[in-house]
Amino acid sequence: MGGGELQQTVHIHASKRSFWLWFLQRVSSVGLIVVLLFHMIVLHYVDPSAEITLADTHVRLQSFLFIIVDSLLLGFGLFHGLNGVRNVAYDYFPKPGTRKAISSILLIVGVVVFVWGAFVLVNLVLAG
Amino acid sequence: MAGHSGLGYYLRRVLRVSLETGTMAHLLHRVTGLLIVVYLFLHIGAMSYTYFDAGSGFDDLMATFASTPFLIVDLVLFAGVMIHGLNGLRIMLFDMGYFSRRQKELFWVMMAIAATSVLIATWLVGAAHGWW
Amino acid sequence: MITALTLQELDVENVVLRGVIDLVVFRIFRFDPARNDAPTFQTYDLPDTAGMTILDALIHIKENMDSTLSFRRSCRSAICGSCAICANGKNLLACNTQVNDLKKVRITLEPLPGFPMMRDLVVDWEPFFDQYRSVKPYMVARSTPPEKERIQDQKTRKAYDEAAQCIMCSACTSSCPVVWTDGNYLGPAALTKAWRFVADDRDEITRERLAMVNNEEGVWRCHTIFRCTDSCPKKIDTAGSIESLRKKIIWHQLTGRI
Repeated sequence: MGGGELQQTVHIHASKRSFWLWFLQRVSSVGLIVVLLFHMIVLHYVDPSAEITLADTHVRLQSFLFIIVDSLLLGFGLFHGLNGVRNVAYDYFPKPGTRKAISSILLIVGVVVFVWGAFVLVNLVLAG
Repeated sequence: MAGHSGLGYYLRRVLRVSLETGTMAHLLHRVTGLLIVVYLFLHIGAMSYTYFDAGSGFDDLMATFASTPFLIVDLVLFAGVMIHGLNGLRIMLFDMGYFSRRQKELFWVMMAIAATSVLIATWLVGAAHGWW
Repeated sequence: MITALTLQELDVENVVLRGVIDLVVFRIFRFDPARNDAPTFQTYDLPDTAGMTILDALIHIKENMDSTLSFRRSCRSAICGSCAICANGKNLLACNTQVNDLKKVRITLEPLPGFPMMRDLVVDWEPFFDQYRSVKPYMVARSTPPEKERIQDQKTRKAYDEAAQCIMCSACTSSCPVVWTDGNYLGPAALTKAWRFVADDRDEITRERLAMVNNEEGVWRCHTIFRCTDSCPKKIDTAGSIESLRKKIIWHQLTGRI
């Protein structure tokens, strides 16, 4: 950590991964703008006095549209959020070893939470 | 001798009075982004409740969230999402090659839109819950 | 006339200078690694700064008040880039900034952030030029040249008009918060230089150049904070140059040319 002084480095190798992560950060952000606006407006601001109940949520999730929107929200949100954390962490932790550890932890967290979230969502759709 | 660099130096300098528009936008983007990530995990956690308690537990939890303190937290979150989203749009306009020379003005335009939407949301929520 | 004493009593920070205040307090960063453990700030009061540049003030202090003060300067006309310093938190060239234009009665002068300190206002630029050299800051054209010169039309020349103005003063790279914490990041100066040759159609190693900056410590580390563009004394949109590089890389990636 720290050690931010400029060091002599010659970068000659392209890194496709850093390009794709940057690019997908943009793609997921566009997706999130659409999906998150839909989610927030429909659930909280069309009828702000409506109370959210398990039964209503179950009924709502019988609609294909809501299943798609909620799944995309989970996927885009996790990717965009955790890749964002990676971007922030990479700025402050320049050492390759630390970065690798951060990347691995974020990847594991992302996969585990996505699987768990999908599991909860399926459970909501089926059982309510 | 250590240079004028490193995380400690960064924190001392980046928060100084010479904070100009670009840096402010960047820091706001970071802070709101990290807060939204924290909320995302809390949100997934709250939804997990439906798996563990098929009874009225979830409904009770949602009723708690409909109380005034949580509604205020909701509005703060909404503000964070609007700031992050609109500034994100601003960044993508730069990525596409627009407004690079007008970044400061664009920031304030975006923040004006965010402020307006937060005011409207506050008014809607307040009206629905009898705040006025 | 307002004296140094009343100035401290009033603690005036934001007084419009011209015609109101005729004394400026310079707080100058002092550090000599051979003698000091830690840096300190020393103040110098300068009356009558009208028409004086910050560099004039520094030279005045060195010649008349304190000969131990160290700073870098050479051309005094904004072309060599030696006198870039950090004044009141903003990177600029000392030689083309009027003291009174800062509109402050207290001016804090520090060495450029992000670089190793050498003494007082002088920083070690070797790491900066290492980054600069790593992007091959020269034209590479291996094909046989035409009889006279390599022709370029005006429109193509215009594409890198701004980037070609760079005087390598390092004000942009030094102003970047990413550079402060991640010393391996190429930084706006080197990336703008890369763009200058990518945009030049006489250069023949565009793909290699794009590969050089297409990595974690290249264009993708930039967060478009615009401190670099703000601090460029030549008004180059350095952040915009990085964005232009990105756009080019994106098209190359998506069309499978990389």
